[in-house]
Amino acid sequence: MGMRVLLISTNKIRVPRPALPIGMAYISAALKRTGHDVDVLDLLWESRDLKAVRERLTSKPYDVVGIAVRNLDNLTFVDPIFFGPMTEKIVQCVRKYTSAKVVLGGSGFSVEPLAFFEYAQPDYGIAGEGEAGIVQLMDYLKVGGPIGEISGLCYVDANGYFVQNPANSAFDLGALAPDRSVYDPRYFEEGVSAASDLTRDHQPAIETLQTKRGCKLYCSYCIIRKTEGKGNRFKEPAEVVGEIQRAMAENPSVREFEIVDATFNFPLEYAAEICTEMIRVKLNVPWYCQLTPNAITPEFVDLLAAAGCIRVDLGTDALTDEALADLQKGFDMEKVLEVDRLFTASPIEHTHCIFLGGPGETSAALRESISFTERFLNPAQIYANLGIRILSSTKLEQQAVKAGILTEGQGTFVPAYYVEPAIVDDHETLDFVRDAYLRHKNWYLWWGLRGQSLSDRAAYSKQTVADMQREYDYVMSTKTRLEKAPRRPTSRPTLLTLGST
Amino acid sequence: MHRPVETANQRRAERHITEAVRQGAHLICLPEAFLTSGNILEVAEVSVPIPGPETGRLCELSQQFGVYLVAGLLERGDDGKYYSTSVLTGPQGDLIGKYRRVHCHDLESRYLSSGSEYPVFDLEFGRVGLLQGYDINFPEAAREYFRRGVDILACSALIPDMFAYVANMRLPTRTIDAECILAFASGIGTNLYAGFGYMGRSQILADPLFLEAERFDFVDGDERMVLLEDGEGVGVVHVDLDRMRQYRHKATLRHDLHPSTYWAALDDQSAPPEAKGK
Repeated sequence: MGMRVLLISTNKIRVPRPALPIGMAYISAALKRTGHDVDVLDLLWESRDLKAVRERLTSKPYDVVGIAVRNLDNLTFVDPIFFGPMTEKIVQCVRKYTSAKVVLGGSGFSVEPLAFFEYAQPDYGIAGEGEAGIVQLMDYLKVGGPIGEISGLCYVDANGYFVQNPANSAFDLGALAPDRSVYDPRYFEEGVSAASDLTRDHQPAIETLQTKRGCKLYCSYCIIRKTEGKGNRFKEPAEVVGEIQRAMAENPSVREFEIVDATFNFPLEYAAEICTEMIRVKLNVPWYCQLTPNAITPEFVDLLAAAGCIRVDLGTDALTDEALADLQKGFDMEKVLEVDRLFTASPIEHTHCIFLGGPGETSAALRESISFTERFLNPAQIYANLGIRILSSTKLEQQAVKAGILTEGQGTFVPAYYVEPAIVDDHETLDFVRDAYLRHKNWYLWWGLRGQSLSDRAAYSKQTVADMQREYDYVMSTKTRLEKAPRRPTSRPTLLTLGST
Repeated sequence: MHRPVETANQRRAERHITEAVRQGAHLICLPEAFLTSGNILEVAEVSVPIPGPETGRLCELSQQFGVYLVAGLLERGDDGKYYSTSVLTGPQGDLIGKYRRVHCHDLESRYLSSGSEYPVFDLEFGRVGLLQGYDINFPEAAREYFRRGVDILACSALIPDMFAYVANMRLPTRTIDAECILAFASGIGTNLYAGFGYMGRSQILADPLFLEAERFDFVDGDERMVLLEDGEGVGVVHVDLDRMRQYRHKATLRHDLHPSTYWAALDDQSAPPEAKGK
């Protein structure tokens, strides 16, 4: 008999549009394929999270409660929201109302497994891809076995040390499609996405899928290589296209889809194969994706258009050569210009996603980048963030310590942001930025920009982040700090095929 | 001739104070007119001077147990008038201050005079305001204390049972209005002359949104952190006022007020008939 599992999706981010809980859908698929009963609770649709959790927990018995943490926070300096405290309270709820084991997972957990574990105190966590680990954990809970071999499992060992198993088991990505039955129908209601997407007048219901896991790029702030891997695992193009066809057929509300790979076009050859397969089967469904400018050619743009791609978000990140080099983007402004012109000449709508106030950026450079954008770029949208969320073990973290934004060993579980101090203190430049973003209807920085100066907002954000740290310290004052267990030999990788049984 | 009744109430009160201290209370609130009950027809006979022997005993108890005490008394004022008054005594054995009930209903006001101030007292754990039962009907009283930024409102009450339902609805609202903790010590028993009972149901309340932010297991209704459903007794709750102040700092509605729009005089056409009748 299978385990009775409740999966709780904790994502509350609705901007620019509610993201389908695809991670939870994959975990659900893996569990169901291996004979477990799965219920889900998606807190995106709940106004009172803990009330909803309590009602669900008391309505039916569960053996395991999995808490899917998509985001540790909303990654937005000008409007910082930290999801750690809610997760911690959900764990306490499970403890009070059930005897179920609590498992934390998702990319939000995988960012900071130790810090999250000691803060929320689950029974287990799974860092990295969770499909193999969760299935192995169910087996372990049912019949026992060597806990050290459960892929990515985090736990406290008999000596009180925190252990994070290596992610030494993978699952057959091609054999497992996400369990789309877990998606709340409200995701697909007309107007739901459009209501929260302030940059667009119209946004139909969409489906999402991944063609691969991880990323091969080395952007200075990013941890996707840590949470999803190095981008070496791909679905067969025919499987990708088949999954799209099935998802569209199963849900007639869906009229477009989004490929949610961190970077669809890296490696370029694989992306081209996907597009070619879409063309071959005459998929004829509008779709969009995220691209890095450093692997875009005229031929690829043509291929995207022919395959039905209507919109791309470009991970441009910065608009000066110096900033691009610092962020380790692997391309320069000449390439940005070239890519912008290619998409401007194509039927595909393009958005430049950029950070303002990154490491080393001066006020003069920031102003110049805005003028440059106005003069030379022609995107459908600019989607900007003031500052960059600092994550652990990144180059950006080291830079933040050097700049005095973080202290050595402070950690980055509680939201911390790199905004060049000289820019935060330069009210005139912040006003200049605000004016520019209000002047252009298709430039987006923050929904509340019209009502507040950016310098006032920055001061508010700094105070909010300080409050988050104080709240974290308060909660941790009654909890035991964990130490990592001494390193053990890595066990041999195992391949699990979850889709073929 | 009333001494035995007073003594019995005093004995009860001291027993409950002892129990509250045993449970760790720092601030203890007793009901309105706790020594004599509320027969205002006899106010001339049962009222006491403040300060006087009765408050002296409360001061002794405060000092003995190292606690603050709030208690309601019928006061015989130096001005020859009578008041329903709450006193606050402290661990130094001192009478810290008093509040003379501002609101008196029609019948009461033939026997009792109204106070005119909403005093606050800064104690080591926070700012305390005093209130009495009938004041609960008036959001204005709670708002006066909100304006003064109290952390705790200690309300000594003695409310006829027929008003219990509405009073129970008003209590959480006043707590939210005042953005503070409300300790409502409510007398029980029967008024033999008037033939009605008193509602009791002493309780300690907090803003439900504060509690929901603070606790993982908040359930609607938990804003009554303590509720003595039946009879007399002691209810003690530990409140982290620093946490409440932190919450209030972020969640207060204070900054959205428009004081210039409130309580301006109405012209004749706007005023309802009942306002013109008095």
